[in-house]
Amino acid sequence: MISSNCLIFDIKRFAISDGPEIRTTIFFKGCPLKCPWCHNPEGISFRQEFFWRRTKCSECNECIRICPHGYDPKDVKRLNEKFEECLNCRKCVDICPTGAITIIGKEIELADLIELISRDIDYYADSGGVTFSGGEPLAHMSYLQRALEECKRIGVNTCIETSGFCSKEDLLLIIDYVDFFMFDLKLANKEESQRVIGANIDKIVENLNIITSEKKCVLRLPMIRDLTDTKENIELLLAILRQIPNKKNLSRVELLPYHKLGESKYICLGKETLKVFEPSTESNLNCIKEKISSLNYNVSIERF
Amino acid sequence: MSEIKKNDDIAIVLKQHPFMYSNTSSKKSIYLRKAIAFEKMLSTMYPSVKKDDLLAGRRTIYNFPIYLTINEYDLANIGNLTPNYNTVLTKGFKGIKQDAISAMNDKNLSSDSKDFLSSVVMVCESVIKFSNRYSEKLLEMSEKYGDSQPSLRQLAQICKKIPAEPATNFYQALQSVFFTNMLIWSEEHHLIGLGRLDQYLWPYYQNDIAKGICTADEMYELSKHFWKRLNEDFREKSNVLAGDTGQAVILGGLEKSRGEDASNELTYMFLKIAKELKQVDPKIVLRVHSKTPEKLWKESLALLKLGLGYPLYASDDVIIPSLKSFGYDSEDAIDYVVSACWEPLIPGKSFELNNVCRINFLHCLESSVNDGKSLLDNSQIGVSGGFLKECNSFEDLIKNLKSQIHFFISQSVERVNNLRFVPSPLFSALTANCIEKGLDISKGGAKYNNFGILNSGFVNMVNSLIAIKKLVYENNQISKIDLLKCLKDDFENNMQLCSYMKNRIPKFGNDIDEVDSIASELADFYGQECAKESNSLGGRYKGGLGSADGYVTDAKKTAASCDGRKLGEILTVNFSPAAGTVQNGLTAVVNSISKINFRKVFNGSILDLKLSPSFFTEEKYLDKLVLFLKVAMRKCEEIQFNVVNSQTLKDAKNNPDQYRDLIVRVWGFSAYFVDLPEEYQNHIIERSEHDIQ
Repeated sequence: MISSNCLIFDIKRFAISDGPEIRTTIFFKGCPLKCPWCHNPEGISFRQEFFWRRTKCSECNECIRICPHGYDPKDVKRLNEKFEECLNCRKCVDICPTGAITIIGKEIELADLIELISRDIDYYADSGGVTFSGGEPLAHMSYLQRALEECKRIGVNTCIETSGFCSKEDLLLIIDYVDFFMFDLKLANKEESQRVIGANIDKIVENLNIITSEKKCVLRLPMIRDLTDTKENIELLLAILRQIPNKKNLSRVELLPYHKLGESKYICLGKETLKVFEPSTESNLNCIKEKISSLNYNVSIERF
Repeated sequence: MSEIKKNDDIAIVLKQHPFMYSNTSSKKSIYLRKAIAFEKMLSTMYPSVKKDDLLAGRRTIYNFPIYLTINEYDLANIGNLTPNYNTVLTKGFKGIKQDAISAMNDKNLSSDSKDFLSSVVMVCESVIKFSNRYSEKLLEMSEKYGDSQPSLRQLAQICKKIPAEPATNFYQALQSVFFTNMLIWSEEHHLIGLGRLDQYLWPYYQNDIAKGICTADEMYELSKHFWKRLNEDFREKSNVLAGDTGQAVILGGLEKSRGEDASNELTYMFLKIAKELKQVDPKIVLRVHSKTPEKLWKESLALLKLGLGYPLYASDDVIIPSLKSFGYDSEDAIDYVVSACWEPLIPGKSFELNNVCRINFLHCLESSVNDGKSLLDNSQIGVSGGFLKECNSFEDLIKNLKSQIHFFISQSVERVNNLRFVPSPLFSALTANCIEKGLDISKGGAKYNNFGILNSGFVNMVNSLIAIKKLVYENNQISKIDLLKCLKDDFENNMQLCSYMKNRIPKFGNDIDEVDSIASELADFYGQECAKESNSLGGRYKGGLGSADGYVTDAKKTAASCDGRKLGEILTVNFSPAAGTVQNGLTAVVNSISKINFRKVFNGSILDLKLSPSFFTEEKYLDKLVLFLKVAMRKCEEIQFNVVNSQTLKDAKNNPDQYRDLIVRVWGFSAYFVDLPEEYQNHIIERSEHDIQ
């Protein structure tokens, strides 16, 4: 399933919410999990995808006129199904005067990526730098490993934003090159985790323990009503938090109430829209914050 | 904002003196006539005192007596300057008068110089007389109110001495500056800056604290009153739009003796007052540099957060070396302030008209592809010669463009060099070298006489050039003939092309070297060409990429352009990326800007950035903003921020195309406001309303 080509779907400069100080965030395309609430749906597939922004489209219909197959490229679902054929053509993308139709995901030469990262080196100061996010950066091992090595060579602080779902061996390959982790934990029940997001929670917890025993880490818990914020799940998450080997490396636990910002992007990709999720209630958030705080962790609710 | 109540005094005075004509028919020299007119105005000006006044001096006459002969009516008024308040503080008008009398002892003096110096003496006497009248009026008022207003008696004492004598304490110093400033406005000079207030008042502040003359709290109250009074008649002081008064207070920066950070308790005090009063005026320009303390950065952001549009940040690290390389003395360069907007000048030593003219760079581009003619109406705007069809390469086009830029500059300079200015013995008295030289400021008496040029459409031109490069010379997407036709037709028959140019062509401000190098080459050329030109006072011309109001006023007479801009749409403001074209974040914007050699174009090449108030809600984001600013202010000449309020956000919601670059902070990340779903936009609008209060 994992393509040999590593795709990047976005690069955000002056990122101020992805780790310490000012950073450049690299978003890898492709994630092995299938979290149904994902707010970056364009980061899920490992392939390139057509992406159509309704708000940008001027309805000039140039794309329809130029399509040699007689498609309406605004039917982006169809484009993404006819992928190879359309990707080889791209006429609609080239002609679109507003840039409403684009192709998400780009191969970037490592040297070019590093050049781009180093353009903002003056702003990184002491502990700013680069954050590898996604998608799942750890699902792009060979590229990621080389990128991290290069960042360290030019003296840039590195951070990885991950679900922790990768092999232990892979993690050990890169951990020395990473200064800081941002780690997501979702469902702690083994069956639930497997069924809903398709991940083996034991593997994730093992990796969390490896990371927190060596590196600084922020833990992030998406708070989705009646899914991740249930009494049972919270108890299991607390159990994981209790057994962290080196607690002081876990500098903060962030509760992230669910938000709907990703919804429009599902339409842009021609994907089924999300089933309805809701953020946790205020009282439950505060109650969970309370419980985690009692384990002597620094907890914050990162509100929209 | 406090509404100005028209002073009833004005009406009374005008009723009593319907015709305040000075003698214009006599053979007296223009200097003497001006001094007589000044005396006439002050002697008829009613000393207006209100019960709560802590400072004296209120302009009650808005018509300066007529003193010019029919042949002198084309003389231009001088303004947009900052006088040397320190001269009044340290010498008083008596001291200045004495200097003028001493200068008159020179036997070789021309009659012109003698008249000029006499006029300075007269003006000083008029000022002293006028402040004595204020003193009497204050005394009268204090008797009326008795013990209920003891401050009036104290102020009466001060006005008896100040500004005739040097100031010896903070209160006197403040009165001296305030009164002098009021006199300059009364003489019909506009856009008058306050200079480095935290520097020249600092010795008085320190002395008062050390000797227990005045407490910090008392000085805070006096300064607050000073601040309010400067704002009192801001509508009358305004130039183009309400609030455009040029009353800039310059804070911070480096000090002269050791080149260390100059900020002090007064710096913080003025920031606090500005924060407390939330007035449109005066505006603060904060000079920053690599040694600016963390605390000052933070305090400045607390003020910025209010959405008042200031402080404006000026970079000592960029401006001081630029001034020096242009030929300013080191000790003067380190003391720079700004003109009404942001163009650097030396306070009390300059007659520098920093925005005396403006180059419309899109007109330069139009001329270079259309034989010197406008694409709008084919009227001659540039120099003949140069057609797009004859440009076989992009380089040919740039060559054409450069000769047009050269022509536009020399044409503007020629016009400016024909200007002659009205003399001002008062302003001359407050400007270094005028008395020594026996030369009025309008005749080149000041130490520096360099004039500045502004821009409009520079960034539009850069974005248009890259579009022509791509569409015509690289991809053959459109023929030269068709391209010009589209521009002449305002894209009427090819909206797709307009849209493509707007959305699909790389733009300045995104750290793209191919685009930025065009900007840098042409900015260099423009700056060099300006510096080659001299003015009638022996100074030179300085290029700058600020636009002031030019980006609006020039829009209607500038044809559609290859950046996808239609006829009449406003041009890019100052030296900022075009609205809606920033795609790679603020660091990329600053990187693009920093590729320019500011030494060539230091006449106020300011960058405008928009920030959402949501940036200011959490300490951690403030810290990051400080980190960003510290680097940005090493790379840019000046930055001003627009912290958008809810009104702007509402507008952005209704007109998303104009606000594509508006970034708001959302929960765990930042987002472009227009990309957000409606319910979230509403949420942010609500939140911003909350923030602003």
